[in-house]
Amino acid sequence: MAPLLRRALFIGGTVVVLLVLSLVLPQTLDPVVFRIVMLSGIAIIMAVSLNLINGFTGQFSIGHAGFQALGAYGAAALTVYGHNALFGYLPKAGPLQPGLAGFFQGAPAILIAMLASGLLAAAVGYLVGLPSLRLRGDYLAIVTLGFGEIIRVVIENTDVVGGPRGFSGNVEAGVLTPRLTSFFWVYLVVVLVVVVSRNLRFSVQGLGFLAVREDEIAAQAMGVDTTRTKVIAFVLGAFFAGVAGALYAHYEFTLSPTSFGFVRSFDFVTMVVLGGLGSITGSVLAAVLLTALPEVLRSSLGSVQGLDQYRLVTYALLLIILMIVRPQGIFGRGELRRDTFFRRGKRPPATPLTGA
Amino acid sequence: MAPSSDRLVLEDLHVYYDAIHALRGVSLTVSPGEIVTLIGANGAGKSTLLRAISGLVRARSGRVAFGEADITRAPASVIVRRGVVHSPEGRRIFANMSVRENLELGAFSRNDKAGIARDMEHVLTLFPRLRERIGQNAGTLSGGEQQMLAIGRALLTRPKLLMLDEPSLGLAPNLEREIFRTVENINRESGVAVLLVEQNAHLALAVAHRGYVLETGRITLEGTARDLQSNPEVKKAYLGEEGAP
Ligand SMILES: Nc1ncnc2c1ncn2[C@@H]1O[C@H](COP(=O)(O)OP(=O)(O)OP(=O)(O)O)[C@@H](O)[C@H]1O
Ligand SMILES: [Mg+2]
Repeated sequence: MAPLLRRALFIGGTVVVLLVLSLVLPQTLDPVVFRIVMLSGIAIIMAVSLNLINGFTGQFSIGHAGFQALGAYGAAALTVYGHNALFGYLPKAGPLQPGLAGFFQGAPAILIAMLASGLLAAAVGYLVGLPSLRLRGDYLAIVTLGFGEIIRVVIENTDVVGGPRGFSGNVEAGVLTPRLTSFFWVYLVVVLVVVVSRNLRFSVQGLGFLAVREDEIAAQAMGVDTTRTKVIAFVLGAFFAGVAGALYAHYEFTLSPTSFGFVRSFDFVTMVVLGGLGSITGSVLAAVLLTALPEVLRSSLGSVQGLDQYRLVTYALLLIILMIVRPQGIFGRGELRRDTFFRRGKRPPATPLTGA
Repeated sequence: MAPSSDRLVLEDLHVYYDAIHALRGVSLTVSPGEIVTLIGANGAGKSTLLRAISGLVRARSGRVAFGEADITRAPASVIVRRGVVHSPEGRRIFANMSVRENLELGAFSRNDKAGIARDMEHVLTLFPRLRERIGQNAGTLSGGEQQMLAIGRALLTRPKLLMLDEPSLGLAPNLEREIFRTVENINRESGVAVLLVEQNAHLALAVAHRGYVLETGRITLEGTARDLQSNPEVKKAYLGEEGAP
């Protein structure tokens, strides 16, 4: 039962470490830094989940922020309008109780919110993905691009979630979106999405995902159900984007439909490509980099006007340079692994150049 | 690689690519344990025929059966699981994956761990060069090694009927012969039926038991390999000899 014990230790250890950090970090870190840590975590979930679609199976989804929007608005609407029925134990406004008490106070609500928004995004992902994933080539890009925009327009025209003004709760009833998202939940999902991706990557099933990316015809000829594989990747990616949305919604005071536009989707594509299509560790590092960099620039340069305006241009330039200098992504398509640093590991060395 | 009693039967198969009528009523059979070759000029429809059998393209009308099962409309992944396996034209190995991963993908549709390990060992014995390069990226293999990998990968599906589309394409003559000898050995040792598409009619007819000649989507000749070898028309068109001996 050694593997089971290892797994139990991993889960237990993760929970304890995250919980301790969750209690300590907000007290010790500079608020600006802590905010970067939180936003990075959410970006990691987005990038790693998009990597399942664009990196593993080689599809081109450019509407990932749309699924985050769906999750964010869905989750916030649930906790705000479901306050009386479901979450009466939460304060109508203001923070949760301090410390561990607050953690237990918020836990059921954020779990329900994450699950609900994940499932919502996954269901919509299935409906959006299935027809276009059956076809070949660029249909998915067009459809997901359109989907991202449609979601935004729908939100802007839906009054109960604030329309273009944004959503911070049911102001008349005095119920504001509860601040349920703590370090613990963000990084628990980070660990989850990384572990799911990693296990997939090194499983036979995952090999099928990569085969679809490499050569669809050959994958089919080897018995891989390519449509099913692409749909699974897409739905799984959408699920985690929805969960990231729930985390985002309960971290920020106010949701704005413009936070989830095409530009945001493009951010995530940039992260995945920059990190190296298919590389999980690459997606993680690129997500942190592209989240921290603008924040650091903003806080160090202070009030440089319109820094944000140039982000899209900067990213586009960054990508073009990358494509020329290092087309496999900064971190390559492989993984940074333990045995990159320590000489050990089950697999034989990846590339013996001389035959045995 | 189990011998089986399943016979492949095609009846009046028609395949279109939009307006192009690529197969115009093809009927053929491949019996268990047989090597059957399909020869024909460029564009005759040989690859299309294999694609139609393996479910990579859909027939508009006609019927494909393997043993008891009608597989005309079955998805490709199901057809592979029934033991009808297509190694497509141009090798199509997974270039950015290791040799091992390529072979593992051959076993994608199986879950008999012990059997997979046995077949893996068998393939690596058949192609020692693949064993030497097991961790290497498949894209770095030579053309001949890639062809061995393509065949090895197909063998790991545990085929009952193996369909090879131009396995000798682009290989030096001695390697070409080596590949054909291997195909013959696989057939003899494990009773796998083989449907072989080949430009090199000489070699194909030398290893095959029977053959079909395909011309613009129609079967125009069929017979034992020996009969086809001595057929004046085949000699003229496909064996590069002038007239009768
Ligand atoms: N995907 C496709 N779309 C449209 N037409 C196609 C397609 N594939 C093949 N064809 C056409 O169908 C006909 C048969 O092609 P096929 O590839 O089956 O020939 P082949 O006998 O395998 O030729 P070769 O020896 O050159 O490989 C050709 O006229 C070809 O142009
Ligand atoms: Mg062909």
